[in-house]
Amino acid sequence: MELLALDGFLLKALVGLLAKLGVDELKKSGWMPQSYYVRTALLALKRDDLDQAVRDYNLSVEKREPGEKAKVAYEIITCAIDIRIAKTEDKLSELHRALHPPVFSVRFWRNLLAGNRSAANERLRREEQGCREALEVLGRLKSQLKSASEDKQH
Amino acid sequence: MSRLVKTAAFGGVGYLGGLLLEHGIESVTGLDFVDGLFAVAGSVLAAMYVNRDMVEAASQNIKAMFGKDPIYITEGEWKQFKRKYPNTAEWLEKALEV
Repeated sequence: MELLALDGFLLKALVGLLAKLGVDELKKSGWMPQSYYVRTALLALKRDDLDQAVRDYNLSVEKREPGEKAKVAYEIITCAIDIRIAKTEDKLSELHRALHPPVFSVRFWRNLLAGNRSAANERLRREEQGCREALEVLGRLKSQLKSASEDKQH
Repeated sequence: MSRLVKTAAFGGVGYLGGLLLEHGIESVTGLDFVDGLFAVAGSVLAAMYVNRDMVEAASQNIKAMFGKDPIYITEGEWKQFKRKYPNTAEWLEKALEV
């Protein structure tokens, strides 16, 4: 009797596990409804996870034409990326100004005369490199998002 | 052989029934369903929340773009946003009944 009950439990657990695995697989391959992916993309955006937002949006248009909400989500994600790009570019030009001040500025002469500026400049240069890399990643994300949308619209 | 035919026939009827039910729900709710009823619950829940999430995300973007709450942006700023992101602006106007 106990063996039968255990069998029943194991069977239910197995069915549950298989159902979960099946649903997970369907989620990954873009077979869930479009609104599901649009929502997960927006939630990822809320967490500031642009990578995941782009992935989820791309899944939303993987099997279907973009609907009204998907089109809006596309613009919202594009806007978020544009804002991030603009902020990073501002930071980059600020760093550039700090690293390469004009000859007729106080900063230029201070940089030239102060002996211990190299460490600070090195830090600024590292920061500048980080910004350049971030811009590259953001550009790549934007093009990935665009390609998924254009593939479906044309 | 007859068992095989019966199984196939019942399977076909079941499939047609499921298909009809799915399309019925789709036409009533207007939701975009995929094949398979397992998705219905998730889709209904997602559709319920997606509008609120969209308004939140769009207003966050407007805030980051203009540095102020969406209710304080000027008409010019709104037009600028609308030119750049027409679908979002149109959707916001509809959702917020502006």
